[in-house]
Amino acid sequence: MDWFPLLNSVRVALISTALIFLLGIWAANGITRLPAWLKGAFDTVLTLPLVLPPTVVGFFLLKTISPKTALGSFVLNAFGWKLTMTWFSAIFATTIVAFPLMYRTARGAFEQLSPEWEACAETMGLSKRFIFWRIKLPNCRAGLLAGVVLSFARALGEYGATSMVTGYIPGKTATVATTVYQLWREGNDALAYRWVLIDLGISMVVLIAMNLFEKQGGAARAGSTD
Amino acid sequence: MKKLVAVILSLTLMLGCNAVLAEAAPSAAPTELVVFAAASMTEALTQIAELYKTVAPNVTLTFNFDSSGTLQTQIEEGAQADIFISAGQKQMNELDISAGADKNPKNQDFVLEGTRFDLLTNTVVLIVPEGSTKGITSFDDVATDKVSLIALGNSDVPVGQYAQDIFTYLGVWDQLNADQKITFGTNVKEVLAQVESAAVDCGVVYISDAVTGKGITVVATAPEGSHKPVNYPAAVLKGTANEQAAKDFLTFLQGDECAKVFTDIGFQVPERK
Amino acid sequence: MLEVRIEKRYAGFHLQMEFSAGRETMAILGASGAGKTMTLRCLAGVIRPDRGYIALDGHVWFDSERRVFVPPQERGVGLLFQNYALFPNMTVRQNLLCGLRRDTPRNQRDEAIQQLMERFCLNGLGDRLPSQLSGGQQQRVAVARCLARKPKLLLLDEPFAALDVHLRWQLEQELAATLENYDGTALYVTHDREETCRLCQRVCVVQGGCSHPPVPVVEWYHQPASRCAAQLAGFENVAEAVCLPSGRAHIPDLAVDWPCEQADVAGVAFRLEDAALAAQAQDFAVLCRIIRSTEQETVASPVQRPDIYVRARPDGRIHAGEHAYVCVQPEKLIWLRREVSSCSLRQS
Repeated sequence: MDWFPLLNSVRVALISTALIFLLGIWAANGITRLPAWLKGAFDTVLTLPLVLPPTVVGFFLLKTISPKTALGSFVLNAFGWKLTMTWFSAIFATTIVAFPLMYRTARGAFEQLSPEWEACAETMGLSKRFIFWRIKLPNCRAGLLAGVVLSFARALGEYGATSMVTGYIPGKTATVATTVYQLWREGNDALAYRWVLIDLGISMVVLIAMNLFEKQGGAARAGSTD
Repeated sequence: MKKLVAVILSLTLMLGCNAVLAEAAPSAAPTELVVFAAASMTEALTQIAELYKTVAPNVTLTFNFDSSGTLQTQIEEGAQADIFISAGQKQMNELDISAGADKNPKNQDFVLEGTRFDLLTNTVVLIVPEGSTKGITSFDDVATDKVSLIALGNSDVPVGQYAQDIFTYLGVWDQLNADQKITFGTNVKEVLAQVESAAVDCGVVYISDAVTGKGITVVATAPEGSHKPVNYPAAVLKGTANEQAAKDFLTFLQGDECAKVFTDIGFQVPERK
Repeated sequence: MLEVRIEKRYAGFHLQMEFSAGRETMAILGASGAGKTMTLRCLAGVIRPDRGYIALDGHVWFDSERRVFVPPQERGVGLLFQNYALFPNMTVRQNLLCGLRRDTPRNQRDEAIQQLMERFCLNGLGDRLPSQLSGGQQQRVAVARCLARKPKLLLLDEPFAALDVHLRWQLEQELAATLENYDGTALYVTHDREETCRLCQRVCVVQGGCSHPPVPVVEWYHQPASRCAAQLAGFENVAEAVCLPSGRAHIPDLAVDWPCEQADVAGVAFRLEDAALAAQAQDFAVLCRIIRSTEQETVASPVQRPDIYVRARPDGRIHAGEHAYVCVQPEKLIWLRREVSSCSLRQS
């Protein structure tokens, strides 16, 4: 059996989850510093991909990175890279679609932190960077992990935007989701079922992991001083 | 609560009456025809719908354009359609009981007897993005280094099957797959879009799509005999509520007005009996 | 010398604080929501006031006119919150390390931590997490961390509010000892008058976001200047008063006129223990109907103002429902001046 779709899906999901984690915590932390009116606008824009149909996201992506667009042609001419129809094109799609999950979870985790920690830390001369990486993040660990797992699951299962941006090249850009669709269209139900079961298995593992992290987070909160 | 029940009941009654009226009335009453047609017919049928408004103003044409394979599946799953126009005989055969058991292995019976005929034929061509500098001039070039990525319909799309036939005929099909040069689209319009946006180096579509597409150039026609003839069979489906209206529309499609629309776009119209 | 003059509007609240403090422990005393914590945050530099001036020993930390703002990292302030704000993911030792000055040489750090731990009886707890400490131990760690970089200004935000009563007394002793040894200005935010009396030298009363001029604690306790100060000082009976031309003052809540030599009187106050029941009227008396008589106090209502409560000394001889005069010892009656706060100063 050709395992490429699974390996590719996992590869894409891992890379985009790493990107999403960094972008998510940066955005969640930065948004607290904006003035109130700007905060609302940014929050809406950053959460938008959660509500948009993935095909809408795919459409916007195509209009932005296709070889004939400003950005696409620039990259093609400067580096010789085509931004669509490659395996890493999927990373654009999955990152955008799954980003709001990490962002909202991180924001919720940060907001639950006691603001006094930051105040005390600042008066003690600790830099903002220290406060963020050594005080804020470690105390949100469980919440952030849940966000990571959620984003990974979403990235792994992305179909609409991915299929528009990567096409379907067996052995090169095929993911589990696009493969199942193609197999169904070709009438190869047996193989389609196999992939469906594999995907179900992975999804269940991911969800169980998420529940475990959330429980840990709850236990940690109950045990900490407040 | 009682008011809500009353409103729901009256709505249901009204809808029911409408349905009954629609069935019982002659075609002079407002009629809606649902036409499932291959994606490659989008422009042609849209134009024809405008023309048909003057001929039969009481008839509203609703189209569902997609790959013939997808449409066939939808019909099998119970989609409500009056007419089916496929881009390949295979999809129509699998719905037509009179096609015989070898062509219709599931013995499905969706086609109304006596209404099936070949509406059009089409030509398969190779297209490239406008302004392409890769120097692709024939189907043989696809197997060379000039082409790193080609967009084809998947095996469920008739033009995809024809492409497979062509490349098999040229002896390069296995090579293309081994080199992972093919990206499979779900219908011919997707292939067209991918070539237009230069996401791929070339693609195989019908001449009718190429003519209506923007930003693409036709570079070659499929070699003679490299694929089965591209016939577009059309038929009225069993279970239609508007048998006469459907038949009337199919008759209109075979007329001279429509022939002109089809040929302008690039289809070929067979001799009508 | 700490000089503070700040103004900030937030959430429909208007904070206007003005006071100065020397090398002493000064209480910022007021009811909840009076703006005390916000003041501390402004002093720490964590929040920026809308307008004003903050300086310590000549170092200007905030000056809205000259657009000066020193960030909290550079002010050298020690901040102690009610819930200690110990970092839960760090051990005691790591928490204390955070409190040290950034420029402490590495080789001196361990020694400094050791000294802190000895001084605050934290030996052996170095590797524990805050969640593994008792309430008292957490407080000591928080105080130690606060003092680690020898701040010039100490800001304490109701440090005992979260503790049990029996633990409170013990920790109060420890904190009192620490404050005695502390060479700097300490501001102690509280709503508890007992703490104010025991730990602080001066008190600045805050009411509705406005500060009253700081006064020595003794003066505030025995001779409060305003109605708000009197209530905070624990006077059980506080009422409005209006000067009359004939050397008397009218008290509407009691429906009486009492002799008063001072002009400029705005209120009157007397303590429960300074009011006794009598059968005869006297100079400072009001006829009341007894509502309730307990071992701690007598609760009565002026006959002409049945909606007002007057609290007097317990008196077992008189029972509920009966009438008696509530008489105040003349030297214990406090006449209150018009409210003089930072807000009214500004308006004049």
